Amino acid sequence: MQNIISSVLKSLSYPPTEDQLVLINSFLKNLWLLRILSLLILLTSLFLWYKILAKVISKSVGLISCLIILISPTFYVLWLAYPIDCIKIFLLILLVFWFSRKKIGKLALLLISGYIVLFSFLTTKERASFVHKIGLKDATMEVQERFAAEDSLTDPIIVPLKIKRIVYNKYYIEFKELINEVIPFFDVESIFFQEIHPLEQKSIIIFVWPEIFLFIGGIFFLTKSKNKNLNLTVMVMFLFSFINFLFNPFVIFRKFELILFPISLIMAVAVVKIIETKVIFGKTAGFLIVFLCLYGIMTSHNDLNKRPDYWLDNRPYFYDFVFNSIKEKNLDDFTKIYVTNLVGNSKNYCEYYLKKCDKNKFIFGSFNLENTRPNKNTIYAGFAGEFVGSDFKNNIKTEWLTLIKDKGFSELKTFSTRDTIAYKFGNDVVVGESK
Amino acid sequence: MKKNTEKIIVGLIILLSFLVKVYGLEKSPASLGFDEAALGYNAYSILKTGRDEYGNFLPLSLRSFNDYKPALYTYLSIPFVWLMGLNQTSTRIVSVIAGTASLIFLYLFLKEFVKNKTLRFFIFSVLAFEPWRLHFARVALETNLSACFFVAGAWFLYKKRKILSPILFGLAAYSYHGARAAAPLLIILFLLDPLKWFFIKNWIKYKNWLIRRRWKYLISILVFILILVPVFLFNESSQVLTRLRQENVFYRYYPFTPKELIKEGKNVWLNSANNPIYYFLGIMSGHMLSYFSPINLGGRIYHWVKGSVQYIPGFSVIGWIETIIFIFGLVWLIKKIKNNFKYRFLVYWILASAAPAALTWNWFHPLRSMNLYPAIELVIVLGFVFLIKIINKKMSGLMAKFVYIGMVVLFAFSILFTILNEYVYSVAINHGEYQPGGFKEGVPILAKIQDKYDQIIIDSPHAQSYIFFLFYQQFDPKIVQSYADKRPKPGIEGNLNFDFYKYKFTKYNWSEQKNESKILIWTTSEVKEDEIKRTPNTNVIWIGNAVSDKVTAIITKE
Repeated sequence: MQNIISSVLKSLSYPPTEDQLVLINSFLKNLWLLRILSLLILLTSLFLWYKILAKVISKSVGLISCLIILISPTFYVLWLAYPIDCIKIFLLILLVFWFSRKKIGKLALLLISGYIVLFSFLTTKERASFVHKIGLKDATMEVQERFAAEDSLTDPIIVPLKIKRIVYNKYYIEFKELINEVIPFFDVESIFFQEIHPLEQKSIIIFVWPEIFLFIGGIFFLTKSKNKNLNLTVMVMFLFSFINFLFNPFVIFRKFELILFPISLIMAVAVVKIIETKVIFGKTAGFLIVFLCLYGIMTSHNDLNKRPDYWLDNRPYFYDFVFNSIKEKNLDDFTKIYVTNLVGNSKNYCEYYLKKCDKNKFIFGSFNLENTRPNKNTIYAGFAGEFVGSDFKNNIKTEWLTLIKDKGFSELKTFSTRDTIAYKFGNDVVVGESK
Repeated sequence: MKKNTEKIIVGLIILLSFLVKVYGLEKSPASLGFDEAALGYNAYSILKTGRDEYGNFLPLSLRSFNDYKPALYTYLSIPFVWLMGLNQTSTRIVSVIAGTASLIFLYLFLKEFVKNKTLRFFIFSVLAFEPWRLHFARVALETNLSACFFVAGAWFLYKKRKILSPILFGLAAYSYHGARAAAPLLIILFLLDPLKWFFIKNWIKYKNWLIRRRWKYLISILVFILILVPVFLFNESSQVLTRLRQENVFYRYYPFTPKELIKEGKNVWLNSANNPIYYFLGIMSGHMLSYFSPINLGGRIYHWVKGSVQYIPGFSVIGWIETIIFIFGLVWLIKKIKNNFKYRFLVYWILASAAPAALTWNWFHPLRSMNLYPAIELVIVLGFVFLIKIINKKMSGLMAKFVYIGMVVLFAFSILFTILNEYVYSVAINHGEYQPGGFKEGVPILAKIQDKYDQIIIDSPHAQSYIFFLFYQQFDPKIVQSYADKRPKPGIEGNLNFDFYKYKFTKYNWSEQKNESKILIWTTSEVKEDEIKRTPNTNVIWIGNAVSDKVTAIITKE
């Protein structure tokens, strides 16, 4: 029992993300209060989703769909670390709930789609690659690159320049680039096979792999279904997921976060059919798949709690180490404290961990000590590459620790991040004080 | 429309597709890959001596790079090598013909799914120029030949031709390893029709149907096995399975569960929280389903694909618009699967041809799964059908016409883009590692002057570059065969170069080699021309590749 609790705590002790800090530093002041609020918001969204499905399809489908979402690792990580996404989901489901009662139709689609786009634009300065592709700048560059590449050939097949100009026109290339932004929405691997992803992509499990069979089964029943509301709900939710995917600039599971709803609905349809069917083979196979899904969910949560640093963003771990190390020191002994900003907004983290961050003492920015010695009475917190020199292939000198010691630091604390979060500067974090 | 008109239109599309595939084979892809050169040279060797490069008399599998390639491609290349000499075109033309011939069977299947002729011609035109069709047909690939026989076998199986079908499957199996597993699997799936199990309530009825209607297809399996017997009789079966041993999924991923989740000293199979069986089943399911994954078919390039012969710059396997249409096709396929066998047959085809590839360690590997793509194209066909139904239902006549014209223009652009991309852009991106430049340009020069020298030093980073020295100068096979005993033994991977005739494969070191006389050095390492030219009686000849004029140097020392 103790083992289980301690392993659960491992992911629960995940430090705050930048999203959370914005809210904590502004008004909430407490990480756990924010997490509980995020959970409540998501649970309310689920309740609304249940109400929608209970009304337009059936209570059992609604209940199962909500259960599937509830046990998804993505749901867990959303309230644990991404409160703004929770708010977005809540508002979206609220709008769907509201419009599903008003029957406004196409206008509702437009308004909700607009809301998703607007939310993405207003809550972050980052822009999705799809947004960057809108406009002909990238397309023009690709046309030029193609011409340049082809011109470099010494003995090519001769194609009349006119034909080349017709085919490699920036409008067609623009179309190609946009459609190449659309195709990744149909990424079976990221949605269903994250636990064994072929590219070891950093993301969170949305659905465990056996659930894909429920999904396929659900599509079969859906195509046979005469319930127009069911089909419409699935289509509409897919549309919203798609728009979110295009405009969300974050990691892949956040781009796919809305897909929890339509896919869980399709799977719920399959589960209900499995329960209802009288075909022995279908029923047996169905229950076997459901069992595998439940086992997979258990396995995934176990994995997430044993290796939170494997699954979760490593940047909060970096700041947690840096500021906890600084906190241990008597800051009055130091005239300056350099904290790198290579991986995020260090000032926000400083305010969270230290409460007061003297403007004259703290310098939030990357530093370079490769060819200089550290200043006296100063703390430096950053990546090994900032101390001994960066490398464009992220291969920091193996003797980096000795080199840093030789620079005259009186005390050094180090920590290795699992992921490369500051490419070119290595994976080792150093907090060094020079007296 | 008269029947002849249909034949003429289809014939014209196929002819055009052939011309596009065959045009400029000497220039694009710019140079041969290692396997292509091996196929071509072994055809030449068999033509001249009746034996392969190792001296094996009319082999069924070519030892080649110790990978035991099925030999049918090589045998079919012999007439072209005889007619045209040993060159890129004669080596690749079998693939061109196979890629074109498979279109005939694609069209026959297409007729099963699309009744409207105009729509059929349009879809056929689009599919005839799919990126994978163009790319793989322009490279000498056994797997492309296998895919041609496989689609023919699948057609005759679908048409319930019990003998002709396994014969064609047998030819597919003699062309590429994958068909040896895919063909019997497809016959078995055809015979059992297992998807019926999900829907059938009366098992006795199913059993009766199976006994009454399907038992006779067991003869197809028997015929297939009989055809394949010689492969196992005339070769050591362990050697035939060499490739599978090297690439299988079981070895590569063991113990399946992520290592950090395994407790040291405990039996991994008893791990209740993260059992390896769960992960293994996941890997297998993932491998199979990756071949349905739209992103894999239409966009994502895996690192094992990039820098290999299967890499089509700008594409994955199928076109981008077709990828979207494929999704509609999948939905239509799932919808229809219960009521009509032809849809289930399509699923069986996909499963059977993906299964051998799924057993290898790669998640998605286009080259190993080429028997699959005609079936994927048929799913695209279903997508077209579904889409047209939606357009006709949801749009007014004028609007629908507008959309259709738009589609035609868009696909016309896509076809042109695909051709241009394959002809020119691919050469700029793909020349290099697996189709290394310099050999095609340099070996004929080397051949002209080599008689004057006692030794030829070859300094090449490639593990199998010897094959280019054989291929590009049509080296006497008898001399090569005489070195068979001295070559790396079967099972050995890595550097397979061997010293023969005057050729010695070793590192280039000018400070040592400058003191020797009558020596010729072929090197891709850095060459300091000024320093070399200071040595008397020395010269440097620079050899270019597809994009540069200095990739290889031939240093001559009198």
